[in-house]
Amino acid sequence: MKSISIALLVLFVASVAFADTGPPYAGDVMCNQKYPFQPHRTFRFVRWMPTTMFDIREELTADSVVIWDTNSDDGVTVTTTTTSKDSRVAGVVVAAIRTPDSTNRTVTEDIGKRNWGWLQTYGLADNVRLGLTAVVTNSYIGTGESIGEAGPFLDVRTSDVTTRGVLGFSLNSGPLDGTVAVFLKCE
Amino acid sequence: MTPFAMADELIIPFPCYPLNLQKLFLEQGRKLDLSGIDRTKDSWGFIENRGGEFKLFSYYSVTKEDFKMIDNIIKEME
Repeated sequence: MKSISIALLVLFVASVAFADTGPPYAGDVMCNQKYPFQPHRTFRFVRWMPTTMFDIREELTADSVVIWDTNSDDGVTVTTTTTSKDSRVAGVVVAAIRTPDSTNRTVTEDIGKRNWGWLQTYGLADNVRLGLTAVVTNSYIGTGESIGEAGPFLDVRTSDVTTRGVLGFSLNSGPLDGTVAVFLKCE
Repeated sequence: MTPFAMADELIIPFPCYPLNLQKLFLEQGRKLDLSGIDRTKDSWGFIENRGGEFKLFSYYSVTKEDFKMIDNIIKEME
């Protein structure tokens, strides 16, 4: 009887000790469709191509919101937009990206050139640039009406498929022309 | 899904030779593993070779210095 009790006790302890081999663990933050063992932020190395010759004079500033470039059509090149809630929203630029020295090259010809940089597509981004509209905490965010700036994503009932791009949701409130912390969900 | 604790994922859209990349990282003082199971105390992260692109998984949050270092390494590779 004693040995059976000990065996049962061992089995009980072992099951407690080894049952929880998979996530989520107590205390871990389990966020959107990601388990704790998966990356908490995703970055992509992207190529920047300005939309107009005016843009080409200035570098793309850090924390700008960008969209996938449908002219290059390569899934690697990003550009800016003035369409609010642009469906092509790609993410937020981590650090400033320099202007291209030529606009006539393909993406493979451009590898290693200066117009490449890091784009954050998933996870917390602290200082996303806001445009002329303030946002409140816990609201959907999309592209704004000015180059590189974010804005609120309010009209989800629109029938225009070109304006359905959600960048993420705000973790705090942000003043107009200020910055806001956004949990990005572009991945 | 990769069953390792990771902080950040960096996706680079062109191919590379993992051993070359490992060497270039080591020159910058960072130990890049060829798999998550090779992790040691001083590892920075590991590489996942996906043919036309490669992914770097860091064991810690990537800093601005890390980004700058990887930029330089990529320029050196090309």
